[in-house]
Amino acid sequence: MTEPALRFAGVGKSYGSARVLADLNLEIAEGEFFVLLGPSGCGKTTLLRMTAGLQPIDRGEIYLRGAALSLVPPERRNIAMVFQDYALYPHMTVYQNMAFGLRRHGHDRSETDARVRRTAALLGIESLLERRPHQISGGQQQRVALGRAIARDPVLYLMDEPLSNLDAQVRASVRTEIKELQRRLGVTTLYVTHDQVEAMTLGDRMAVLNDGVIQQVGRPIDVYREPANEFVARFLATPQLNVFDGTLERIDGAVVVRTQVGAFAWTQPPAALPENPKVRVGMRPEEIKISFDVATEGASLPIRLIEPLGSQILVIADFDGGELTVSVPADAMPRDARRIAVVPAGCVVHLFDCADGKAIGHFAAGSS
Amino acid sequence: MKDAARPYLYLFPTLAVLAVFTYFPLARLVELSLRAPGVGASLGPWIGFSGYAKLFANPLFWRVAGQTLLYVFASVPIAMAVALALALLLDQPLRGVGVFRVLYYTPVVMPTVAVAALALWMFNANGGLIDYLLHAIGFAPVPWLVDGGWALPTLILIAVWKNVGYYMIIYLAGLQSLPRAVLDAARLDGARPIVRFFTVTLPLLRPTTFFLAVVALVGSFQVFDFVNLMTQGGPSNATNVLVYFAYQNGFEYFQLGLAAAVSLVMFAMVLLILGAVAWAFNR
Repeated sequence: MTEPALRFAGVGKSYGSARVLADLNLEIAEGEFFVLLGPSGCGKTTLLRMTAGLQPIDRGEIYLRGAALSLVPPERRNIAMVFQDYALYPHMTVYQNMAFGLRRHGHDRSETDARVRRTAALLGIESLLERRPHQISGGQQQRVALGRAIARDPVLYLMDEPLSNLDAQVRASVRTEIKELQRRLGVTTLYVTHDQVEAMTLGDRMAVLNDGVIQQVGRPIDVYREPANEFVARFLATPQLNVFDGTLERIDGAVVVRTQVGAFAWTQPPAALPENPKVRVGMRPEEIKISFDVATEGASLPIRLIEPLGSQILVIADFDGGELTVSVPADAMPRDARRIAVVPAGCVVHLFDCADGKAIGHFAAGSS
Repeated sequence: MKDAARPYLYLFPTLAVLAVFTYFPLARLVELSLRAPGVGASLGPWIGFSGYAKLFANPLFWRVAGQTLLYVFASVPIAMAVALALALLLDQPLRGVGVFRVLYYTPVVMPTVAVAALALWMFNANGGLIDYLLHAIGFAPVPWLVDGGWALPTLILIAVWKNVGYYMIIYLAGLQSLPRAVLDAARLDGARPIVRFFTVTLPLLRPTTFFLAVVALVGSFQVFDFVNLMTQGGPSNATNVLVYFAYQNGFEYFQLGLAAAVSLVMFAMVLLILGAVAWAFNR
């Protein structure tokens, strides 16, 4: 097997008695765009800083192309990092910002100049080279920060929430830019974010981190489709995941999941199911089928609120003991809708263990 | 009242206080320097700039002015450099670093009289602590405050010792407010500690350095108490500085006009130097 570009072997970190990272194992392939996703305080930035050498590793080892990193000072790791607040040198021009690392790494003036100009052309920032950071916009500053990393031509990019200080529109365009650049340059990238959209759109693979423990590793689409536990399912849902209690019932080889919003048929359940029939049921707003054509009031739910998002509308309906959020295409909703009924067939259902939250199964409900 | 006038109304009380206690005395000082001495509190006839001419013709004035500049331009950079070095040390995440911060700051809160008394004892040429220690490691004793060549450097040394703690605290505050990510970025860019210090830390500390330079320059020009308490300008004017010289002229020789002229010349020197410093920092 080829050596992964970056390997975390039992990496752990604690501050006093507070554990920030449990012993963490992870491999990132050469050229891969890997996203670490998790809520604030989950340890993702700590992991990034340890990889950069800005924080010591308490336990385990990080290997970059097979070489142990823990004793290598950051300046000799050949890793470039893009920071959340850009971290440009405020007293230097854009040109000097990009040239600084190159000069420190022993490139002569003409080589440095060529690289800076090539990178600036790549990013479309040639006209900014003589400006200072405070004279350009946030989006431009982040582009310069990317340029500073790219010009160095390192073996690994670390990106610490590089988009979170940008406003929504600029964020989307810089996001696309980062993805294209990474594809073009093929440099292994470890990208940290708490934004699931960034994780889904950017990553070749991703890991979801919570409380210093990796919850799941995989391709974003796989993690989205088959979240390993309730935390991952909740974290990867915008708007939020609907979660309610349910019970499993075996009926003729199939399984029916009964909930307060309806009964969902699992036509091809696995052979082994937990003994406890009580489960947690997770359903994403966009994976629920509903009907506004409500025949009987008994099986329907009253609409409490609607939130138009443009092409989609969020419909929030009440049921006894909770609320159900459903996302429907804007044109599918009648003006005078008052109630909805869940149409089980085609709904995507995620089942989680009541006790530990681990996934039991994911299925599209059949028609019962 | 019109809204446009309101801010000026609020500025007025401070200006009034400044006018009475600063600008009026300053104007009187100028007047004093341009008139002959009178009897008692009254002033004599106008004599124009002849007081200044007399001052500039006095070689002692030039010597004192030179010594003042030497004192300022030796003690300020030395104290600032030492303070920055200490601040860099105390900015590290060391165990018990707070204790060191307090220890280094202690001379600042000590009364100048106490520092002077302590320094007189330590630098005493007859059995002072420093000479005792020098003797213990095999050096000849140094005539610290009694020798014309040694007295001013000794005074500078004591001033550095007294001021370094204050400058250090300011530098420490400056260091701790530096954007950490920028320093991290420099590390990842391959800058080793010394390079990082000169190319990133020091330029980022520029506002702190500018503030300290101004405060320290003004403070050092005004040095008086150490001279008055320890050497009275001696031996044979070797530690005489402008403020002490003005004091001597005014209150020992009762040459108030001359003292006023000395003060105003010093005032002009300070303004000129601060202007140069501001220019250098804002370039």
